Amino acid sequence: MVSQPDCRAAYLRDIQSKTRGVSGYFSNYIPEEIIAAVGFHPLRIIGRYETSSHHGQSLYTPVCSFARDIFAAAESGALSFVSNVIFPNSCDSLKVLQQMWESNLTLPPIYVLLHPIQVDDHSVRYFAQQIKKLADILRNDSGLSFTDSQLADRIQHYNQTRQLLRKLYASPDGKPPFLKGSDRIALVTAGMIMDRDEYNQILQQIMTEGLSAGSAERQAHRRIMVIGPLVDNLELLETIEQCGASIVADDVTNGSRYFGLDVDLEGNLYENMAKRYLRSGPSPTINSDVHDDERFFRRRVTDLNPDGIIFINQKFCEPHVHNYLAKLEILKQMKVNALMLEVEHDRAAVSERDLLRIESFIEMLGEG
Amino acid sequence: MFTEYYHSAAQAQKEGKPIAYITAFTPVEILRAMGLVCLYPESYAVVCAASNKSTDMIQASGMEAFSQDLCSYSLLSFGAEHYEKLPLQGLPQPDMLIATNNQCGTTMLWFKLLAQKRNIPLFIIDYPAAANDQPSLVNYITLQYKVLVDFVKGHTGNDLNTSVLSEQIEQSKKTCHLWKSVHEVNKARPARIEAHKIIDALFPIVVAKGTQQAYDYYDALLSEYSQTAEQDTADAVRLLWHGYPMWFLPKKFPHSFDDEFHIILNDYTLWWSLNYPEDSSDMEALAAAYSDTYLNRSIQRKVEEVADLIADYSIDGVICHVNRSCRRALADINPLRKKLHQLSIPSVTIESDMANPSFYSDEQVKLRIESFRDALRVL
Repeated sequence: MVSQPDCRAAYLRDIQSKTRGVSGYFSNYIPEEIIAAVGFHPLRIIGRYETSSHHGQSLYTPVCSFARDIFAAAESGALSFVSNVIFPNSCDSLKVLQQMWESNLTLPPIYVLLHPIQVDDHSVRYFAQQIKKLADILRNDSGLSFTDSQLADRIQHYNQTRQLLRKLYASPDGKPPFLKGSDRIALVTAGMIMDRDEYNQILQQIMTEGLSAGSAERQAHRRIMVIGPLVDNLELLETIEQCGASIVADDVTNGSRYFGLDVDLEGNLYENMAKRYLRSGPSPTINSDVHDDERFFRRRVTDLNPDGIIFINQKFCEPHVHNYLAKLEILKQMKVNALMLEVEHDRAAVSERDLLRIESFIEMLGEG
Repeated sequence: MFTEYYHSAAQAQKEGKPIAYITAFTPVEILRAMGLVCLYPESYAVVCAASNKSTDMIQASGMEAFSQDLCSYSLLSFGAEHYEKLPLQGLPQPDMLIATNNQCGTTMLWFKLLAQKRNIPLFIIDYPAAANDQPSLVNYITLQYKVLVDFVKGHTGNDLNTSVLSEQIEQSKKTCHLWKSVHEVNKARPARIEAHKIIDALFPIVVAKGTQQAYDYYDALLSEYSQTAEQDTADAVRLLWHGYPMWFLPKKFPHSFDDEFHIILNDYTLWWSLNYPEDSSDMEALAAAYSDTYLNRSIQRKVEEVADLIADYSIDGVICHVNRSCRRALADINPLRKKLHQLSIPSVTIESDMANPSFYSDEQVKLRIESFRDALRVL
């Protein structure tokens, strides 16, 4: 339920009263553990927490629809319940959003975590320093300090989530996962909003019940992988499934890209977090080796053997357009069909055009 | 100098010298000190746009459908691979690619795609932010330079010549200072040089910063400009063009401005004047200079810097180019206009592109100018 945009606000109102405040953040490169350790509730800013008809200044259109949607929400006061917001050092659209926020909105205050894009020992050390710096700022904000063992305890909770989600996505004994692809993404999304302890309990319960219930994948259906940034349009995912496909895997921000690797609990925790966040897998905004990325992607597609791949891109999302173009070259060589859907972040309904394109694509795969 | 630069690049290829494609704010001093011939695909895209080739080349790229999403420089670069009538016979093939993210995130994405398509080694330098007051950031960047040196050595066998590096940095420092002085002839009222003429002189600071040739060029230009007769009258309306020029237009700005106004300054050309700190090691000086590009700075600094230019150059109005190709450059437009409003300086936005004329409309420009003209008249 929490993954549904309409239900988020009610859930968050309740959370606010139980914590020192809500700390909003963007991107999978912000360590949630740190936010939780200082007593804030980490909330992934996805959009649409409160509906609003306010139309103020807008970001220029080449900025992606996600950033434009969030700015409109922030400007209208729909994010006023958030105590602070943490920006990553990510794509240019988020940089524009950050600078517009700094310049136009006095509240909530924002912080920038300068995470590096390199993935090597130097960048891990630099990132560890930046995480520590962020922790100090948040500590000042919340007035709550924490010891290393308290931080380790928080990390453990987040590691537990990652382990449970990896199990949920895995195929035990070669059998397909017991949850539909759209439900898996909805479940990961809910985790980005919910209280972590409550979420882990629910995940555990779903795992126990689901493993005994069996697979959700229907044999006759076309096997689809979806790729994209944050996909907050669950209706679109459900439409793909209703058109006769099973989403057997994903590579989206609020899907499998969220839970790779655990944070090591031995040694320097800041360095361990830096390692975990930088080394969790390829991402369009990180400078991993081009050839390693290609090998990784080929192996994944080969192992998965999908009938087709659907790229779901937010309009004007530059990193993911480049990712699509790069992957398309590989998929052509591998003779795997691909479809690119370009969606506006703030539009929940599936357009007639997209519906037709999905239907035709899946029909075409059926003929293959 | 322009023709010579491209001819010498072609010659370098014939002689088997290692060639690198680099992005605009790559620390070229290190690469030259390792014997690399450095070419700038962005600069070549400007050549293509100014030669009226954009439309055909973007079509040739096969990526026209993504012209809303991708930077037009990158579209022109991909188009060059399939287009036959290239200006100056095109760029020689590179042996390696070196990109940075200190101007935008696009260059990294573009070069990654290029590296994959052509199977060419790629090195990316990460500049998370302007590093002036952050020793940890300078350290992170200089460590990357060490890895860069190893990367280049691994592909060419060439060592870093540290005395050439020091000379290059010293020359860059002097040339950047001189380039700034060239603009400053327009601080006086009336102005001496139209901004589009300064744009015409941009090429050496982009591709030859660090060389004696570039320094000599600007030295001569400054003498020439200092003796040029005044170009307008003391009561002329003086405008600042904020952001990228429109390379496909003959004067790089819409001609509709010509009749009544004088664009005497384009801040984009000043972006190329980097600040190399004194009393730092060579690598630290490069880290500080190249992390502190205009587009990598905080919003407060960017807005204050443009406000300073307005005061220093006695600017009456500002035209902001909303350039579809550069998201990073869009960040400061609304905050800047807010500041201009506080300063009672009229401003107008024009939505277009730096190199793709399909996003340009003369009609739209005329309409925008009409209301701007009214605001300027009441000054």
